[in-house]
Amino acid sequence: VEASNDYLIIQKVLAGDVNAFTVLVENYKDLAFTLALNIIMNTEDAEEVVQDAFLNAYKSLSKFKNESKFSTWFYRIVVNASLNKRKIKKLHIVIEEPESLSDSAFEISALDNYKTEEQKKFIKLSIAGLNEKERICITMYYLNELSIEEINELTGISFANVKVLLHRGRKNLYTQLQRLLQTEVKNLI
Amino acid sequence: MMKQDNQLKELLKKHAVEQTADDFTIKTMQLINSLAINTNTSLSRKDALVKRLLVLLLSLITVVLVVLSTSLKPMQTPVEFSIELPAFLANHLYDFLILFPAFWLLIFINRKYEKRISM
Repeated sequence: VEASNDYLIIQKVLAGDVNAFTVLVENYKDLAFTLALNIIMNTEDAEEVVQDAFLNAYKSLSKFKNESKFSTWFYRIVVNASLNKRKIKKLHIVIEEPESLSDSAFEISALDNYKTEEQKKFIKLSIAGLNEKERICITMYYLNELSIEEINELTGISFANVKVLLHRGRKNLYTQLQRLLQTEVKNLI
Repeated sequence: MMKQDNQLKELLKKHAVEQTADDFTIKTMQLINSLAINTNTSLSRKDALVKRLLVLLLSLITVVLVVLSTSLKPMQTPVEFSIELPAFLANHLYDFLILFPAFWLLIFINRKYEKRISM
Protein backbone atom coordinates (compact mmCIF):
# COMPACT_ATOMS: atom_id res chain seq x y z
CA VAL A 1 0.00 0.00 0.00
CA GLU A 2 2.83 2.34 1.01
CA ALA A 3 4.73 1.64 -2.21
CA SER A 4 1.67 2.24 -4.41
CA ASN A 5 0.91 5.47 -2.52
CA ASP A 6 4.47 6.62 -3.12
CA TYR A 7 4.10 5.77 -6.80
CA LEU A 8 0.92 7.87 -7.07
CA ILE A 9 2.65 10.81 -5.37
CA ILE A 10 5.62 10.48 -7.75
CA GLN A 11 3.26 10.55 -10.72
CA LYS A 12 1.66 13.72 -9.35
CA VAL A 13 5.07 15.38 -8.92
CA LEU A 14 6.11 14.38 -12.42
CA ALA A 15 2.86 15.82 -13.77
CA GLY A 16 3.89 19.22 -12.34
CA ASP A 17 2.49 19.18 -8.80
CA VAL A 18 5.77 20.00 -7.02
CA ASN A 19 4.08 20.40 -3.62
CA ALA A 20 3.01 16.75 -3.66
CA PHE A 21 6.67 16.00 -2.92
CA THR A 22 6.03 17.31 0.63
CA VAL A 23 4.32 14.01 1.45
CA LEU A 24 7.48 12.07 0.55
CA VAL A 25 9.62 14.48 2.59
CA GLU A 26 7.31 14.10 5.59
CA ASN A 27 7.18 10.31 5.31
CA TYR A 28 10.89 9.64 4.96
CA LYS A 29 12.75 12.55 6.57
CA ASP A 30 13.13 11.06 10.07
CA LEU A 31 14.14 7.55 9.01
CA ALA A 32 16.54 8.93 6.40
CA PHE A 33 17.96 11.30 9.01
CA THR A 34 18.41 8.44 11.51
CA LEU A 35 20.22 6.42 8.84
CA ALA A 36 22.50 9.31 7.86
CA LEU A 37 23.16 10.17 11.50
CA ASN A 38 24.20 6.58 12.27
CA ILE A 39 26.70 6.73 9.42
CA ILE A 40 28.01 10.29 9.85
CA MET A 41 27.50 10.74 13.62
CA ASN A 42 27.02 14.49 13.29
CA THR A 43 23.54 16.05 13.46
CA GLU A 44 24.17 19.07 11.21
CA ASP A 45 25.98 17.10 8.53
CA ALA A 46 23.34 14.36 8.61
CA GLU A 47 20.54 16.90 8.15
CA GLU A 48 22.40 18.55 5.27
CA VAL A 49 22.97 15.16 3.63
CA VAL A 50 19.27 14.25 3.90
CA GLN A 51 18.24 17.62 2.45
CA ASP A 52 20.63 17.12 -0.48
CA ALA A 53 19.32 13.58 -0.89
CA PHE A 54 15.76 14.90 -1.23
CA LEU A 55 16.92 17.46 -3.81
CA ASN A 56 18.75 14.76 -5.78
CA ALA A 57 15.75 12.46 -5.55
CA TYR A 58 13.52 15.25 -6.91
CA LYS A 59 15.94 15.93 -9.77
CA SER A 60 16.13 12.28 -10.79
CA LEU A 61 12.52 11.37 -10.05
CA SER A 62 11.81 10.80 -13.74
CA LYS A 63 14.49 8.08 -13.71
CA PHE A 64 12.81 6.22 -10.86
CA LYS A 65 11.40 2.94 -12.11
CA ASN A 66 8.60 1.35 -10.20
CA GLU A 67 10.60 -1.90 -10.08
CA SER A 68 11.83 -1.18 -6.54
CA LYS A 69 10.26 0.64 -3.62
CA PHE A 70 10.77 4.41 -3.47
CA SER A 71 12.12 3.99 0.07
CA THR A 72 14.89 1.61 -1.07
CA TRP A 73 15.77 3.88 -3.99
CA PHE A 74 15.83 6.93 -1.72
CA TYR A 75 17.84 5.25 1.06
CA ARG A 76 20.43 4.33 -1.57
CA ILE A 77 20.85 8.06 -2.31
CA VAL A 78 21.10 8.79 1.44
CA VAL A 79 23.69 6.05 2.04
CA ASN A 80 25.84 7.14 -0.93
CA ALA A 81 25.67 10.80 0.14
CA SER A 82 26.51 9.89 3.74
CA LEU A 83 29.47 7.75 2.73
CA ASN A 84 30.65 10.56 0.41
CA LYS A 85 30.40 13.02 3.27
CA ARG A 86 32.67 10.78 5.31
CA LYS A 87 34.91 10.14 2.28
CA ILE A 88 34.24 6.41 2.51
CA LYS A 89 33.75 4.53 -0.75
CA LYS A 90 32.19 1.34 0.57
CA LEU A 91 31.89 -0.33 3.91
CA HIS A 92 33.94 -3.34 2.80
CA ILE A 93 34.84 -5.59 5.65
CA VAL A 94 35.82 -9.18 6.10
CA ILE A 95 34.64 -11.06 9.12
CA GLU A 96 36.61 -14.25 9.34
CA GLU A 97 34.80 -16.59 11.66
CA PRO A 98 31.51 -15.87 13.32
CA GLU A 99 31.87 -15.67 17.08
CA SER A 100 29.73 -17.80 19.34
CA LEU A 101 26.43 -16.32 18.33
CA SER A 102 24.18 -17.45 21.13
CA ASP A 103 21.56 -14.82 21.88
CA SER A 104 21.74 -12.77 25.02
CA ALA A 105 19.38 -13.70 27.79
CA PHE A 106 18.18 -10.09 27.98
CA GLU A 107 14.42 -9.72 28.12
CA ILE A 108 13.10 -6.64 26.34
CA SER A 109 10.18 -6.55 28.77
CA ALA A 110 12.68 -5.53 31.48
CA LEU A 111 12.48 -2.03 29.98
CA ASP A 112 8.78 -1.79 30.75
CA ASN A 113 9.62 -0.79 34.33
CA TYR A 114 11.12 2.47 33.08
CA LYS A 115 9.53 5.68 31.83
CA THR A 116 9.43 6.37 28.07
CA GLU A 117 12.12 9.04 28.34
CA GLU A 118 14.42 6.69 30.22
CA GLN A 119 13.77 3.89 27.72
CA LYS A 120 14.67 6.27 24.92
CA LYS A 121 17.89 7.25 26.69
CA PHE A 122 18.90 3.60 27.22
CA ILE A 123 18.19 2.66 23.62
CA LYS A 124 20.15 5.60 22.22
CA LEU A 125 23.11 4.93 24.50
CA SER A 126 23.09 1.24 23.57
CA ILE A 127 23.02 1.99 19.84
CA ALA A 128 25.82 4.53 20.24
CA GLY A 129 27.81 1.82 22.00
CA LEU A 130 27.74 -0.49 18.98
CA ASN A 131 30.57 -0.46 16.49
CA GLU A 132 30.00 1.44 13.25
CA LYS A 133 29.08 -1.45 10.98
CA GLU A 134 26.82 -3.10 13.53
CA ARG A 135 25.07 0.23 14.13
CA ILE A 136 24.52 0.84 10.40
CA CYS A 137 23.25 -2.70 9.77
CA ILE A 138 20.91 -2.61 12.79
CA THR A 139 19.52 0.78 11.67
CA MET A 140 19.00 -0.33 8.09
CA TYR A 141 17.41 -3.64 9.03
CA TYR A 142 15.12 -2.65 11.90
CA LEU A 143 14.37 1.01 11.23
CA ASN A 144 14.60 1.41 7.47
CA GLU A 145 13.23 -2.13 7.02
CA LEU A 146 15.73 -3.02 4.34
CA SER A 147 16.32 -6.68 3.58
CA ILE A 148 19.73 -8.34 4.00
CA GLU A 149 20.11 -8.35 0.18
CA GLU A 150 19.38 -4.62 0.03
CA ILE A 151 21.86 -3.87 2.85
CA ASN A 152 24.45 -5.92 0.96
CA GLU A 153 23.75 -3.93 -2.22
CA LEU A 154 23.77 -0.53 -0.51
CA THR A 155 26.83 -0.96 1.67
CA GLY A 156 28.99 -3.45 -0.20
CA ILE A 157 29.11 -5.67 2.89
CA SER A 158 28.68 -9.28 1.82
CA PHE A 159 25.41 -11.12 2.50
CA ALA A 160 27.08 -13.43 5.06
CA ASN A 161 28.77 -10.51 6.80
CA VAL A 162 25.50 -8.56 7.05
CA LYS A 163 23.95 -11.57 8.80
CA VAL A 164 26.89 -11.83 11.22
CA LEU A 165 26.83 -8.08 11.89
CA LEU A 166 23.10 -8.17 12.59
CA HIS A 167 23.54 -11.06 14.97
CA ARG A 168 26.48 -9.45 16.76
CA GLY A 169 24.73 -6.08 16.77
CA ARG A 170 21.64 -7.57 18.41
CA LYS A 171 23.75 -9.41 20.97
CA ASN A 172 25.81 -6.32 21.79
CA LEU A 173 22.69 -4.16 21.95
CA TYR A 174 21.15 -6.49 24.52
CA THR A 175 24.42 -6.62 26.49
CA GLN A 176 24.63 -2.83 26.51
CA LEU A 177 21.00 -2.55 27.62
CA GLN A 178 21.52 -5.10 30.36
CA ARG A 179 24.59 -3.24 31.58
CA LEU A 180 22.77 0.11 31.54
CA LEU A 181 19.81 -1.27 33.46
CA GLN A 182 22.08 -2.89 36.04
CA THR A 183 23.92 0.42 36.52
CA GLU A 184 20.59 2.19 36.88
CA VAL A 185 19.43 -0.31 39.52
CA LYS A 186 22.75 0.02 41.39
CA ASN A 187 22.39 3.82 41.35
CA LEU A 188 18.90 3.55 42.77
CA ILE A 189 20.14 1.29 45.60
CA MET B 1 13.66 -15.70 18.40
CA MET B 2 11.19 -14.29 15.88
CA LYS B 3 9.14 -12.79 18.70
CA GLN B 4 12.22 -11.17 20.23
CA ASP B 5 13.18 -9.83 16.80
CA ASN B 6 9.76 -8.20 16.38
CA GLN B 7 9.93 -6.78 19.90
CA LEU B 8 13.33 -5.28 19.15
CA LYS B 9 12.03 -3.79 15.91
CA GLU B 10 9.07 -2.21 17.73
CA LEU B 11 11.33 -0.91 20.47
CA LEU B 12 13.78 0.65 18.05
CA LYS B 13 11.00 2.16 15.93
CA LYS B 14 9.57 3.70 19.08
CA HIS B 15 12.77 5.00 20.66
CA ALA B 16 15.64 5.06 18.18
CA VAL B 17 14.17 7.21 15.39
CA GLU B 18 15.83 10.63 15.38
CA GLN B 19 13.81 13.73 14.52
CA THR B 20 14.90 16.35 12.03
CA ALA B 21 14.62 20.06 12.88
CA ASP B 22 11.07 21.45 13.00
CA ASP B 23 11.52 23.55 9.86
CA PHE B 24 13.21 20.79 7.86
CA THR B 25 10.25 20.11 5.55
CA ILE B 26 9.62 23.82 4.90
CA LYS B 27 13.29 24.50 4.11
CA THR B 28 13.58 21.44 1.87
CA MET B 29 10.40 22.28 -0.03
CA GLN B 30 11.61 25.88 -0.50
CA LEU B 31 14.77 24.53 -2.11
CA ILE B 32 12.80 22.11 -4.27
CA ASN B 33 10.36 24.81 -5.37
CA SER B 34 13.17 27.17 -6.35
CA LEU B 35 14.83 24.29 -8.20
CA ALA B 36 11.58 23.59 -10.06
CA ILE B 37 11.17 27.28 -11.00
CA ASN B 38 14.78 27.52 -12.21
CA THR B 39 14.42 24.36 -14.29
CA ASN B 40 11.21 25.65 -15.90
CA THR B 41 12.77 29.07 -16.58
CA SER B 42 15.89 27.63 -18.14
CA LEU B 43 13.76 25.26 -20.24
CA SER B 44 11.53 28.07 -21.51
CA ARG B 45 14.64 30.18 -22.21
CA LYS B 46 16.08 27.31 -24.25
CA ASP B 47 12.78 26.91 -26.11
CA ALA B 48 12.67 30.62 -26.94
CA LEU B 49 16.26 30.55 -28.19
CA VAL B 50 15.62 27.55 -30.45
CA LYS B 51 12.46 29.20 -31.76
CA ARG B 52 14.32 32.42 -32.56
CA LEU B 53 17.11 30.50 -34.31
CA LEU B 54 14.64 28.57 -36.45
CA VAL B 55 12.77 31.73 -37.47
CA LEU B 56 16.09 33.40 -38.33
CA LEU B 57 17.16 30.39 -40.39
CA LEU B 58 13.84 30.30 -42.24
CA SER B 59 14.00 34.04 -42.97
CA LEU B 60 17.57 33.69 -44.22
CA ILE B 61 16.69 30.81 -46.56
CA THR B 62 13.66 32.74 -47.88
CA VAL B 63 15.75 35.85 -48.55
CA VAL B 64 18.49 33.83 -50.29
CA LEU B 65 15.92 32.04 -52.47
CA VAL B 66 14.18 35.29 -53.41
CA VAL B 67 17.51 36.97 -54.24
CA LEU B 68 18.65 33.99 -56.29
CA SER B 69 15.37 33.68 -58.16
CA THR B 70 15.43 37.35 -59.15
CA SER B 71 19.11 37.60 -59.95
CA LEU B 72 19.59 34.35 -61.90
CA LYS B 73 18.63 34.44 -65.55
CA PRO B 74 16.96 31.34 -67.05
CA MET B 75 19.97 30.77 -69.32
CA GLN B 76 22.26 30.38 -66.35
CA THR B 77 20.72 27.06 -65.36
CA PRO B 78 22.66 24.15 -66.83
CA VAL B 79 19.64 22.14 -67.85
CA GLU B 80 16.43 23.39 -69.33
CA PHE B 81 13.48 21.92 -67.46
CA SER B 82 10.59 21.33 -69.72
CA ILE B 83 9.10 18.17 -68.28
CA GLU B 84 5.38 17.84 -68.44
CA LEU B 85 3.82 16.14 -65.46
CA PRO B 86 1.75 13.06 -66.24
CA ALA B 87 -1.91 13.46 -65.30
CA PHE B 88 -1.87 11.01 -62.36
CA LEU B 89 1.11 12.81 -60.80
CA ALA B 90 -0.62 16.14 -61.25
CA ASN B 91 -3.65 14.73 -59.39
CA HIS B 92 -1.39 13.61 -56.55
CA LEU B 93 0.14 17.04 -56.46
CA TYR B 94 -3.28 18.70 -56.20
CA ASP B 95 -4.24 16.25 -53.43
CA PHE B 96 -1.03 17.07 -51.60
CA LEU B 97 -1.56 20.81 -51.98
CA ILE B 98 -5.01 20.46 -50.40
CA LEU B 99 -4.16 17.84 -47.72
CA PHE B 100 -0.91 19.37 -46.48
CA PRO B 101 -2.34 22.74 -45.38
CA ALA B 102 -5.49 21.01 -44.13
CA PHE B 103 -3.38 18.71 -41.93
CA TRP B 104 -1.38 21.56 -40.44
CA LEU B 105 -4.50 23.66 -39.96
CA LEU B 106 -6.03 20.84 -37.91
CA ILE B 107 -2.83 20.43 -35.87
CA PHE B 108 -2.84 24.17 -35.18
CA ILE B 109 -6.50 24.17 -34.11
CA ASN B 110 -5.85 21.12 -31.89
CA ARG B 111 -2.89 22.77 -30.17
CA LYS B 112 -4.91 25.92 -29.51
CA TYR B 113 -7.74 23.79 -28.10
CA GLU B 114 -5.37 21.81 -25.83
CA LYS B 115 -3.77 25.00 -24.58
CA ARG B 116 -7.19 26.43 -23.72
CA ILE B 117 -8.12 23.25 -21.80
CA SER B 118 -4.87 23.19 -19.83
CA MET B 119 -5.40 26.84 -18.78
